[in-house]
Amino acid sequence: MTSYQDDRRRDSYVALHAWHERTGEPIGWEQLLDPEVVLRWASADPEVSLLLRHRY
Amino acid sequence: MSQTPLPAATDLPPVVTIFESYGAGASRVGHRVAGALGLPLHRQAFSSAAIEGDAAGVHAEEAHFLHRMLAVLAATFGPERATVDPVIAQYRQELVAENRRQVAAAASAGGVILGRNAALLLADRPRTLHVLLTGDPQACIERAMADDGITREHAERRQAHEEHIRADMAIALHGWDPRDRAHYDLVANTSRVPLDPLADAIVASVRAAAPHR
Repeated sequence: MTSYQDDRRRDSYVALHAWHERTGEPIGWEQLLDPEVVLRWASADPEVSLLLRHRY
Repeated sequence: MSQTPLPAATDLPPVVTIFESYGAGASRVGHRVAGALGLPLHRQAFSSAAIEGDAAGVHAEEAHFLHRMLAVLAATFGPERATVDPVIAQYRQELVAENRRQVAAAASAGGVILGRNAALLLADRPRTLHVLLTGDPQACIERAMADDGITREHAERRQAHEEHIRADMAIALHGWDPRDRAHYDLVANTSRVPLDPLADAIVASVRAAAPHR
């Protein structure tokens, strides 16, 4: 069973991948390491937020 | 067909694999063990500092790795994880093959291997000791601050994410969780056991199994 923190981190992979696919911008490790920033952005994007387990 | 005989188990150089909770001292222990054995220290594929490099500074090889790794992570943990995408399958296959190649090369030289899924990939290798280092979270932060010269906030940020991201990569590529103690021969809490005596105990264990070192 995964924790809420696991869900947040793993949702951030999905959001970051969606952003990378859409923009073609390179991914940095620091984005992987900062799920909060990624998830704040992703929750404001209707298309991406549908992919996530939670609203953040 | 090659006529070169496979090396007997006794000819293999010893290997120690180490995985750690962030800040548990793997680098210091690994360095001391490798020095005592006279063998190389093979560091993690990506250091904490490398992991925190900015996107603009990510060079081509690393960018290629990140592109494939993020696709595999998103497919493994995302909402469409039940579907099999051939591109993702190809990425996973490539990343696993690269990982296996790197660990096989390190193992043929012997020494200490930090991370790299080595405890899984070398699970059946003779003369190999698999070590997991854990520690009290606050003590690990203090050690990381001292060892890496970083602030408490910086160390706390690394602790919150890094070890779990490394574990997620292992789960996504190999289906194993490197935090699971069942994979290790020796599990040590470095908040209770000082690093140097622990490293010496690891060396003694290796020498007991490989007395020529």
